[in-house]
Amino acid sequence: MNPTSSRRSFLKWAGAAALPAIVPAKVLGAQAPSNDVTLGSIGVGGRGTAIMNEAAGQPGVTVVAVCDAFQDRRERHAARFNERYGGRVCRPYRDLRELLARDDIDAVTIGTPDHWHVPAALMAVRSGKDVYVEKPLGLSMEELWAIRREVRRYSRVFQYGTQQRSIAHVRFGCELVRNGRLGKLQSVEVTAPSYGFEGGSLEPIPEPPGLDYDLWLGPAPWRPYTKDRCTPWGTYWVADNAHGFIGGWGAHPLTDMVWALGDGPDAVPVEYQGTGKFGTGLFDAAYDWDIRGRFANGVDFHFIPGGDGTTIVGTRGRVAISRGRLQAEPESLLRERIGPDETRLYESRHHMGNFIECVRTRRPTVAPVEVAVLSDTITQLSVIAIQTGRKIRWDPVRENILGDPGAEQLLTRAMRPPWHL
Amino acid sequence: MKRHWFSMLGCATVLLATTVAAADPWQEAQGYNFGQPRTALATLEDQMRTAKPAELRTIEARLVAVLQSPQATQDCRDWACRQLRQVGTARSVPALAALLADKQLSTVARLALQSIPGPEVDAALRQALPRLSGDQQAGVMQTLGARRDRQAVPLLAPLASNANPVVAEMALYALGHIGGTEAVAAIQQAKVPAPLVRYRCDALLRAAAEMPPAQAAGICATVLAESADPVVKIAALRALAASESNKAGPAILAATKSPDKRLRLAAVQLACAPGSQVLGELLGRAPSLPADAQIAFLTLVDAPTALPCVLAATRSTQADVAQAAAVALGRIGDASVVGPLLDLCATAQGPTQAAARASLAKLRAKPTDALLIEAIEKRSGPVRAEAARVLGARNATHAVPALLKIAAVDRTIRGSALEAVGLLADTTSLPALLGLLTTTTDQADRDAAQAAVTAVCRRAEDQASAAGAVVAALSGTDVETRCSLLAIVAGIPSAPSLNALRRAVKDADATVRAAAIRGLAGWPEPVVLDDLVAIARSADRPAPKVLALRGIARLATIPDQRPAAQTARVLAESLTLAARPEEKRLVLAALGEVADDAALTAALGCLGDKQVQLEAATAVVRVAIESVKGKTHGLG
Repeated sequence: MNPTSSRRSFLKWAGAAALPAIVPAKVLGAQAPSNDVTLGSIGVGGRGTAIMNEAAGQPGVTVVAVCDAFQDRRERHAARFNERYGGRVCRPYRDLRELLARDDIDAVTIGTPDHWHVPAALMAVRSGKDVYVEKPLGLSMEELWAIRREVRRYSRVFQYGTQQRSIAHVRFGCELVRNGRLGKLQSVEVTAPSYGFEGGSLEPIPEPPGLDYDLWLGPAPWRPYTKDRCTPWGTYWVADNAHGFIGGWGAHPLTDMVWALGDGPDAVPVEYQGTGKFGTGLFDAAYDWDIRGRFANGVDFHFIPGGDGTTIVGTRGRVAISRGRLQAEPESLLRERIGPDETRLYESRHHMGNFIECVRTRRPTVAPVEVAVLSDTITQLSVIAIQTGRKIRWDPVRENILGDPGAEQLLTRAMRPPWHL
Repeated sequence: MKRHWFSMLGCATVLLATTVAAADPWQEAQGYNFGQPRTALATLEDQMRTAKPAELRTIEARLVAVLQSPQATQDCRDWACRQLRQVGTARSVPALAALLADKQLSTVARLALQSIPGPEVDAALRQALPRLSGDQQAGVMQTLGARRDRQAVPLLAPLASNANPVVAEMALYALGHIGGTEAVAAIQQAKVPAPLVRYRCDALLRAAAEMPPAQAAGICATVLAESADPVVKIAALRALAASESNKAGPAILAATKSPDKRLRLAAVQLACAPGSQVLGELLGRAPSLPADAQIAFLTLVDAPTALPCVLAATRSTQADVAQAAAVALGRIGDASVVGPLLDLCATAQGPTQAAARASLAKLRAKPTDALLIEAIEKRSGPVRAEAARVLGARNATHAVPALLKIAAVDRTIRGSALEAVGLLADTTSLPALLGLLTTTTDQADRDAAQAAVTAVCRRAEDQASAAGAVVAALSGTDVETRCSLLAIVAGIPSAPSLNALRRAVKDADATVRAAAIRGLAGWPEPVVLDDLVAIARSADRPAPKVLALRGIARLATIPDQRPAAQTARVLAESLTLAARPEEKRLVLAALGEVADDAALTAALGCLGDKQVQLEAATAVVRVAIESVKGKTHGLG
């Protein structure tokens, strides 16, 4: 099969008038239209469905469009919402460009495979939509810079799908660090599950009916379809589509770390060196990584698989922040209270709720694009360190690799036409 | 025989060939086809990861040789291109450029070419561009754009009007990324179909950003004036503000009144941004803006000059606007907003009241705590209670004396004041709190004082001392007070607490005894098991027996150093003491965790009791399983 352009798709999109669905007044509710948010969901597999449903559960939100390269998924979800709303409110789309051409959609959730996150978000932002983007963010530094620039250029609201920022004990743990309760910081250890995925079938087989494989691949280089390539779980481990769980799960504890360390350039380590394992089947993204590094202030950084958390150690104590709980030594740290004169961090009680609120008020979200870029930078540089086998030195202010032109070459990643940044 | 030897020789040759191939992964890689094991490729990738810089040049040469080898399969060359993304240099350019027209390999060739630095790549891409069409041409334009090759502009300019929208869009993308005067001119001259008009504006604004500010501002202003597309207008407005902010002011203010919500809110964002030169004018207009824009303004504004405007908005008849104003006061307010916020706390309802309370709790103005203390002393009605509550939320520990003082003399806000004291005080406040608790005759006040004392004691570093102070207060008090104090000590596990509870079990008053039994039954450690068995044995009424048996069933499952046999005996006796099936079931559930013969016997003994037959059978099975496992369990 030849990797052809999506010209036909494009022309179809170009010819399609951006027709909004007819939304019954009862769906919009009494406060419509000022208090209503119309939503489109791009990518409605496992995680994409979860965030779509969370959004649909927010007061005043109507899901008017779902898009997926898998026909059964998009049609099933559209039918489900139409049944809920009692009318032809939600339309299924195969091609995200058709969905994004609609001017009556305020915001989109993006729960596609990882290699689509940034390209889809860029198109959404450029068509005036606010975006909730699942983690991880992108596959190259250039992608991260592009989405940060475009979100600003178009004044869009961006929420990164690192929902731990909306958990009270995570916020409190970060506040303890920010307010100096641990004393002088000494080390940070970040853990994320690796799952050590090897294997994955390399046997080319026909694409299943109902899947637009060319659209599924999108900006990724064309490769034959195999049974493990497009599964919700398998995709995480194919290097053309993802960085494995370094980013796929690492984004959670890394974003927490960035929060605790100030949400600025200083929260990103300046040195990275490490190793990873690679499978010899379809799954060729690194796993079982071990990254050691250093922050500009000399604090040690260690990023390994195994657990799921961020442990920050200072001269007067330590905190271990994870999704499930906050632990501290001494334990009395957990009973500390943060006063009004101290640093209090952004309070969000529901990640999707926060996004929808910000769509309405234009307030920055609890996990804005700047944070996503900081966190994902650590992922990108960890991957580059593993890939080159060399120590990577990073200037977090100028955002460039120092003294290693070969490693610098990995900051960009060409895309398959017609897709671009 | 001869045939046999030939056969043997043939096998040996194949074996040798296989060994040689395995020894040279480069050779093996050349025959790689997708679907085969990637072992050889993985070996070479490993070599690249561990190679020294000097070795990388050799590796690059071998990868280039692969690209040029007629023996190398398409999939092998695909792989080689991907590796050259990392190790390629100018030396790889000719071999990679030769693949730009290849439908299968052009994207992966560009993976490498886009990454490799140097003018050789740009020259090769420019040279290839006119000879390509469709996807391959679009791909090269993408890479030229990513590399910001200004020399490519004359080649890209005509392609921006190409009939193939994929080619036209990619040319616009490239020109927009390259930027500068020539790129701007090329984009302006491009004739594009309707679906690309928005993207053409995007490219134009992006390209203009590379020009001197005055020229860029002129282009942005033109786009802003000529486009009817609100999305384009947003980008133009922001680009204009970024290039010459003083010229953007009128346009921003005008856009705040746009009938398009997206543009209106984006304009408010710009007007409220740090350094905005139009905020002053917006303040005057804010009350007349649509509600969504007012809410955005109140959510985003950070300038203290906005305070009067924000204060006025707290009185808005639109609940969402009033709520947003209440939130804004917490962010930008000074001491002057303490009074209005307190009034709002006392008079507003629902989300606005919650917002006012949260704002007061985080207000940074220095005299806030002092003003709140003054309020509890001098203001009247619900405002005082709100002030007391907020002091607690603000962690204002220095307010404790004032709160205790007001709690002692003023019943109307005692509950709120004691709630705050519970959050703020340390053990030095215990005498005052216990004084309140032991002198009041009102049950609500007693409950409030009890909650405060409990909170203070639980935070205490030395819990035994804190418990001792509470125990000391027991003597000479009335029944209700003793019950309240016993409830407190029951929540502070320490020796003084336990002793007090054990003494109180023998109190002359039945209500006090019940309070003590409740305390022992809820004790967190199994050390009180014997006490509870004794209570269950001697109880002359059902209530204390039920309390004791429930405590036994709970504590018996908590591990400690007690032998399993002893636990089994306690539970077996409890079974005989239990009159109701409810308690029997609880005890049987605990028995199931004890691997001991006595536990088994006790459970077997209940099999005939129809009311607890199922639980008894379950216990028998569980004890049997635990015994077979040979585990010491439960308290063993």
